[in-house]
Amino acid sequence: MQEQLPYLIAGCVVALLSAFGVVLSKQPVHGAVALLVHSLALAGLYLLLAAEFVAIGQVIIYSGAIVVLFLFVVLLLPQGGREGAPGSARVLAAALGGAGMFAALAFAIVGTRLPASGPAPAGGIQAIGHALFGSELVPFELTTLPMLLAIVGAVTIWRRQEQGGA
Amino acid sequence: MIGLLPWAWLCTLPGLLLTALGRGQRPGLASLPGPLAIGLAGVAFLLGDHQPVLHRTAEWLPLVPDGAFSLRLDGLAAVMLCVVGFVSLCVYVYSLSYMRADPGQRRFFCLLDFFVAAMTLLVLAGNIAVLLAGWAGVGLASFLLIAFWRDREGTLGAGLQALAANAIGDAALLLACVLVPAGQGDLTTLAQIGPALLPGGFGPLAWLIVIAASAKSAQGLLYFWLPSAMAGPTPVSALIHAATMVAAGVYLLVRTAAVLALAPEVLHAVAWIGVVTAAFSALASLSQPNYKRGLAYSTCSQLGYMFAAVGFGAPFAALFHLLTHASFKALLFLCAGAVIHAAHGEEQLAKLGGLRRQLPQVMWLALIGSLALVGLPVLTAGAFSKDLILEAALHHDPALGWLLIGSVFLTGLYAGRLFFGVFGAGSSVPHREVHPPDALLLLPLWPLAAGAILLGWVGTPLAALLGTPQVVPVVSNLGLLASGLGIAGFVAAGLWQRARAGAARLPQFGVPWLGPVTGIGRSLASGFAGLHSGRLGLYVFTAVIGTAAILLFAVARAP
Amino acid sequence: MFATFACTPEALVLLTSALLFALGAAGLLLRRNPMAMLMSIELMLNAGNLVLVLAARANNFVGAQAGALIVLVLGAAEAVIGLALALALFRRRSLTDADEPQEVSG
Repeated sequence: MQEQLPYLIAGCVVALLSAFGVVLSKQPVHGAVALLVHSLALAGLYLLLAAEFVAIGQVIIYSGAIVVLFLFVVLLLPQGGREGAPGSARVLAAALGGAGMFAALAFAIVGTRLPASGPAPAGGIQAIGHALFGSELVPFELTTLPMLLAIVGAVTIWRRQEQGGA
Repeated sequence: MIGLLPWAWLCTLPGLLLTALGRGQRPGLASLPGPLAIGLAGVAFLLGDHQPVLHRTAEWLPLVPDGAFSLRLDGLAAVMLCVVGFVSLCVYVYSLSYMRADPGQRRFFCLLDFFVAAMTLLVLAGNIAVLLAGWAGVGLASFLLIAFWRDREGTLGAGLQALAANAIGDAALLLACVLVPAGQGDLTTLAQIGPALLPGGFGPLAWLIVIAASAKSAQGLLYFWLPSAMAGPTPVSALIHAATMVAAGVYLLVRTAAVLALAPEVLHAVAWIGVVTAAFSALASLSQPNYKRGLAYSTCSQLGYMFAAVGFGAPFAALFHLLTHASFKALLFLCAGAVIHAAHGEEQLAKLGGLRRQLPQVMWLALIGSLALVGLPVLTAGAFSKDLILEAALHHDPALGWLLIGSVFLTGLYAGRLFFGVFGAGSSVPHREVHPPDALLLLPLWPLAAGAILLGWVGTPLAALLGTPQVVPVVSNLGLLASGLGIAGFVAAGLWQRARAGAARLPQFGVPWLGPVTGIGRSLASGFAGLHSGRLGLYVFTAVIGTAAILLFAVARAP
Repeated sequence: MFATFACTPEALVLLTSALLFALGAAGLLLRRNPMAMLMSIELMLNAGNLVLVLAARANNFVGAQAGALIVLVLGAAEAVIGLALALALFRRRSLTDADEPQEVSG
């Protein structure tokens, strides 16, 4: 993987910059666009990491569906969801939380002896299919629950909206 | 001259006679020299050459093997004489004012004189037969004084309860008296009786002694009479049921510590009885609506500490705690009496409160007593003696030791509850007419307060005097921990009282410890409920920081 | 501990994902707009996904890629619910603030 290093670095940098954009943008629309860029950068990284199917999935599902959903909702909110400036306590809490989390994770990463990567997983989609319906069958089937919950929940919430009024 | 000292138990009898015969303008004045003489006898012995003084007349009591009339004055007895003499003197002076308006005043002072004589005889007893005489005498005096107000409801029942427990103790002591062979009944040499002469070895003798002591000191299952004994006048509660009579059980155990050491399972049982009683009485005190009963359970608890000390093989610690406890507990009871007297006989904590402005001197005195009970280091004597007991506990049996340390926190809680409940500001009780106490009532409280502060320093010299030299530390790590717990409990009770004015009480179902247990549950629940602030930001922050912390912890631990 | 750390590409990707995760956490704490909060959560999910894909690459294990797909699906489901709630609560209010005590009844 060493030869891909410059591309990896580029991909990581774009992902990080767009993440900053998501977190710090005042308008949610700008944040949604930054999220789009971020997900595309991640798709590029997945390609570099020899996970082609996941990269395609990221583009289609994430950029194509989720971010678009975000944009729809931002559209429906009045004034695109304006929010007030954060107070200093909030900023401090955010800095503390972020720094703490990064410190903990970096500590773990730096302290681990990461072995060099071997060959990339071969087999493409077939291999993933074997995994999904073979060794990872149970988690695969269990994802139906959250999906059902999401569908039923969204419908319920909206029914109540229509009946009661917000 | 020294040879007369063992007869100090007769000192109050002239006063008794004079008071009974109706001599003197004011009943009770004639009785004052009695306890003073007793106390001075103790001091004289301690300052003198410390040789034990013995007196023995053979064949005084028929039908028991060792029926000699034997008196013994040694270091231990002299310390007890000081306790009995000086605390009684304070109570006598107090009663001059407290019982002034009472028609039965004369009878009261006669009974007090009788009690002091019996107690002194108990302390000066050289063998079990004479001890039994004193034992029965104090029991009788206790009954008569508890049921002093014949026209009030419940006093006779309370007196009979005391008599019942006393009867059990007397029976045990009588059996012990019968077990001891002729000529070998001297209390200090009981351990040297050849085992062949004692049926069953030292075990039964030790058990009988422990049962008798438990009955007298309201420990274990025989605790029931002490809270009921609060039906008597407050000076009685202070003298008999705090400082002296209930201490007689501890005195007996300390005297016969050598015998108990020969029966290790009995010693272990004594430690258990002491610790369990200390913990449960402390809990029970938290739920008492009556001021004096709360203090009575406190006495039970502190006596449990003393029993535990004996059980852990530290009889000097028990004696030292007896000494300091006599001072501060008598002080607390007499302050309670002053409060009750000022509030025209009101004893329920719910109706007392906010008396800080109206009784400032009493408040300060009660604060000194409460802090001594809780164990403020260096400044109060209670800390010295309690820390000694806790050291012995942890050394001997750590599990029981930590339970005892937990009881210190409970001690702080109930002491704070009683103190702040009566003197704390922010009470919901409306202002009422308070009868201010006169100077004579408060005068004897100051020496007791001085004792509560200063008696800790006599620990080391006293130990050397009694032949068990040890250094009583001024502070120790364990002591600071325990005192910290106690102070924390005291402060917590103060905060609780401030917040709780007007809160409803849960029904008790007749089980005294149910209230505190549910109270603990409720306060825990409201503490956790405070976490439900409803602010999403707070929840998220806690989650993020918590996850990071767990991650850091896991990484730091992994090799 | 720091002595055994070598700046390999794997380590770089891991550190990037750690930073992304921390950024998402900080964003979640910083923003009051529910949309922004949801987007920060998506950032965190993506960071986790990146680690999964890297693990698949480093250990030659395809199951991790399947796991990454599953995470993607779960992220989508969660975004649906979150957005539905945000829309229901804030449709009529002008200033969106997730910390305002909300009367959620009925």
